[in-house]
Amino acid sequence: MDTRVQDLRRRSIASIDSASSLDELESARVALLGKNGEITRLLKTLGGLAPAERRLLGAAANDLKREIEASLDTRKRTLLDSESSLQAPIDVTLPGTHSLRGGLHPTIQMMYDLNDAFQSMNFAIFDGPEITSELYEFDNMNFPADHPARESMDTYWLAGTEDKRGGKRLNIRPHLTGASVRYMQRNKPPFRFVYPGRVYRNEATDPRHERAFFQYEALIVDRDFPFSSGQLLVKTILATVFGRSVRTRMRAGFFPFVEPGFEIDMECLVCNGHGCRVCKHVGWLEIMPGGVPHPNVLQAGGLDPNEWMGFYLNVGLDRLVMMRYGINDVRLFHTADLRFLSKFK
Amino acid sequence: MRISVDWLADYVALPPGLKPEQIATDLTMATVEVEGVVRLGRELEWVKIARVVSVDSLPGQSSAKSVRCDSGAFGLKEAVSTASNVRPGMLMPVVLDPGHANSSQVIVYAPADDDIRALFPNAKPGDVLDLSETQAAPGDDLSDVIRWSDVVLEIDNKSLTHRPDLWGHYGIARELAAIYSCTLNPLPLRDPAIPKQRLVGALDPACNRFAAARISGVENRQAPLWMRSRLVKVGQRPVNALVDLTNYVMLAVGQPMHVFDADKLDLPLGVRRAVPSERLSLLDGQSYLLDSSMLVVADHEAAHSLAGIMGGAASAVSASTRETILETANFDAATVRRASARLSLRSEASARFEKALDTQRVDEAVALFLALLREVQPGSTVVGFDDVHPTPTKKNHIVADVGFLQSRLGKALNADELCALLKRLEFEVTTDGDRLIINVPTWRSTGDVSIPVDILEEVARLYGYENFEFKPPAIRIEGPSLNRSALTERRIKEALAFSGDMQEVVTYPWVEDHLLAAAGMDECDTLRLAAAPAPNQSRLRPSLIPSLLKSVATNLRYFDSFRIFEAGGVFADTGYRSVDSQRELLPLQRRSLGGALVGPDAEALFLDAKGLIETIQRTAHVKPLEFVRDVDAGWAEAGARLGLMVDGRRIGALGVLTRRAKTLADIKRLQVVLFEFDLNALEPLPSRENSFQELPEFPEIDLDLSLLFPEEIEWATITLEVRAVDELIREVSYVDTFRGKGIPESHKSLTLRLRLGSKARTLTAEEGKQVADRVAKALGVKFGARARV
Repeated sequence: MDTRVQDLRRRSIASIDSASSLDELESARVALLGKNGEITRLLKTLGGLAPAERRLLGAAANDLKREIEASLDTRKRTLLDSESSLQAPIDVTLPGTHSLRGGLHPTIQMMYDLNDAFQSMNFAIFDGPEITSELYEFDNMNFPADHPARESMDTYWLAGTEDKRGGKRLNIRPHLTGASVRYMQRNKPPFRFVYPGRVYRNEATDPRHERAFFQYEALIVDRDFPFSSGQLLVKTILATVFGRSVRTRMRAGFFPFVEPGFEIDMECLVCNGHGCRVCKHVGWLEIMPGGVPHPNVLQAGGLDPNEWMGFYLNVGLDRLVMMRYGINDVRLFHTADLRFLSKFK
Repeated sequence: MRISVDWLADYVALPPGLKPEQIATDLTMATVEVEGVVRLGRELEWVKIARVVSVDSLPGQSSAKSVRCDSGAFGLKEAVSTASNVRPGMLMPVVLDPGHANSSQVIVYAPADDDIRALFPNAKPGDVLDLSETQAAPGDDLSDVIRWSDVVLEIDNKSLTHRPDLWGHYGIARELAAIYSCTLNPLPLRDPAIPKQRLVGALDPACNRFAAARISGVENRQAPLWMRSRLVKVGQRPVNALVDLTNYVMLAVGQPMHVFDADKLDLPLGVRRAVPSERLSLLDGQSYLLDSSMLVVADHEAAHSLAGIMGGAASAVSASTRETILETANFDAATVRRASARLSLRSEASARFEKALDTQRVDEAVALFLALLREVQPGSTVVGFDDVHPTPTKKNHIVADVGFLQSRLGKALNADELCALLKRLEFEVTTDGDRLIINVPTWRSTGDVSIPVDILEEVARLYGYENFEFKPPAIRIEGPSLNRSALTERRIKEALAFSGDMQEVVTYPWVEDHLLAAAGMDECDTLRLAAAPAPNQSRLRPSLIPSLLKSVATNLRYFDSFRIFEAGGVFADTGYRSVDSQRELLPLQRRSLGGALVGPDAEALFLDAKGLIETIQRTAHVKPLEFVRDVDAGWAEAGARLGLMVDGRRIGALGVLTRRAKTLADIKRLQVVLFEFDLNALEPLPSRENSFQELPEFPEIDLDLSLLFPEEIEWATITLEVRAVDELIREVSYVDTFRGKGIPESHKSLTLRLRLGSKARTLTAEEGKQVADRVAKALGVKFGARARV
């Protein structure tokens, strides 16, 4: 190897490595590879050499050029890494400037989450009237004429209508189920729909009881729908609320509008079913009633009970929200107290 | 209802080794909810029976005495007692020291548990329990002697309302026999040799059966300890032998009974309607005013009990009763329930009758009563019996299709399996081809088993709901399922919450009267609740404004600046119409959305609220909302309010809350901007209707222009004027307003921004400046605007 090339190589690498800024590096590049740079000049001299020597020296000079280019590149990256685009350091622990100060009510948010889950399965979302009548809330629902739930202790009747009967005796709805017959009357089966909403009961309030609370109800009506398929509704609700599948059991329960009727329990998530204070040591928590629409209810909706069957599910939504977040007093939901509501961020 | 497991064992041979907790679980799964399993007698582990040998006074003590007693295998013991009833020879309970059973000192047992004391209704306070009536031997366990080693199942009464057959131990035993396929022991039969005597007279049609027995030679005594023990364990207080026996039979077979003092009656007894204004004093010491919807048991002189609810005071058995009439009857459920509700008088009897009992259990009840009478009243004789049974409960007859059951069960249980399940419940079943022909036992025929789906439930619950596997439903999809108005509401709320920094609140639909007044709505046609949830809160809100006022006042205690909104129903006593049925007439009800912005600067709040409303059209894809000056909103300042319109219809308002409204609503400081609009009036667009504007071909220039205007000149008129100046002006936007230092009185400095552009060329800076100068000049001519000096 030509000593000139060796020497040039040493000096070139040294000048590149000693460049302490991008400007210095650029000067070094120009001094080597610029129009009048040493490498450029060296390559220009090749033309005057004998063919054998030219081949030898040419190859060495081109190798050197590539090596220098690579070194420049490496040095450039090193220098870029060591330089900052900031004039002054930033305190990255400072809070972000847009903070979320608003939000949806926690029960409404849960309702929307459930709506999303059910809509993904092509359920319709229905909304019945809040002021409704004994006809829809009780008569159509197969409540016997003298069922205690009809008494004024439970239902808020509208003044001036409380002594009337049926469709003239008005209330603010004590449950959502009555609206299911409205949906049946307005639509053609088969259908599947959810109808979230607020209901009202004339009760004394305490940490577990409110006069106004939200329910979430779902109904499927189809030609071939064994009651065990109703578990789809249960699974969907629980997986949506708790973000994972939860063990459940269906047991006997009585409600006038279903036959058979169920109470659905979920495994206590506090003790994982081992038994604790929250679940009164049984490992299960009663969370929702459900069941197969009673033939009288289907008939009220204009459906032939020999042709159609289905499944109802009704969840006390506030209760699920309480379990989801560990809230111990249902009355907080209706306070409009921002100190409480702002805790759900 | 409390159920004693020891008592159940009289009637059913449960599988060996079955734990009470398992019974609780199995009953809960298949039948009724068991809320608790209570093990009794644990605290009695070291309480033993001892026979008192001697009682000696202690020196210097007036009441405390030294008692020596024999505790059998544990030897002679000494105790100190102040009780006055301690006497030699009596049996009493003592507490041994578990670590030192050989110690000669013991403590006389004093029950901490009221229930154990209740076993001895004749004991005086401070007495030791006197167990001399028992056959116990010294050293025996107290819990064995009083039969306290038991487990009580607590059953949720609400889960029993449809099962009248389960309101007694025999009914629960029968259910357990079905669940575990084990043998149910028969109840005793009535001795047919009792002479017939006319004891029962005319019966109202609402009385289905009336049986009466005349029993002579009764004494004033206590029921045996084992019977008192059972009563107390399930929550019934012992009274005397006759009354305890009626209660015992009721808790055994679910049939209420009543005993009268025969000397106080003029037989026969009949059942009639009360006459209007008839008064009757009952066993609870109260006098009740009856009406003709209520049934009484009466002789031809007077009423002696409120039928199916409670016995009368005048004819009650007492210490001097020597002859008694036992009534075992059956009354119409609805009649009993209505009377009980009307008088607000509930009893163990009414709780059972109102659920509809079968008339056949009268036989079981009478037979059991008479069988036990020999032990409870050994000196008595049944001298006569009468039974009038006009309306026997019929067995329901149901024909159920096997295919029907299978399709709903989702499991191919064959006809034989279905029959076997039903027979466990004592249903009579035969098959006819693919049909099951079923006769329902009488005790299930009054309540919940009358049609084929009821059979489905019986089969499924006995088979075990958990044994049916989940079958995913086949879903047929015919198109998207989208509720556009629900989606619109949600989009608006999400925009307000997440871009508008507003917190959603939910409040009651009823509002206080003073808030309606504050909102200027006290004259509205509001609906009222018959029973007010709270004082002055019987009116249903006609608007969200009163609710928002309350929410604002609530939060002002803690916050100086906040934003809230609520979406909910609003109601009016008007606009009645039939929607789903001609038989129903419902008033006007709408969903409304309202918001409140609270802070120090009214204008800033107003513009924030206005901006949020302006964006709804885009965020929620609804028809455009427009603002108008003309507005009907009594709660808003006249100069600072706007009406909201859609398609030429008025749908809401926006404004700054007046001083008057603030004062009435107890909002003491700060400014409040409110808005409300009708959600139902926002029409969701079927698809997106916003438009696309092409990118400008040549660059545009922005120029800011600050001018002094007289205060009264409004932005809307300024922009109209500006736009007319030159066609190069593509947009006029607002930058800010400044008042104060350097600005003359009743003037404002307003900065606006012009966006200029041309379709033909790139504009020069000089061209821009010329346009701006012309704008300034035009505004000067029109409004007297001038440059800020």
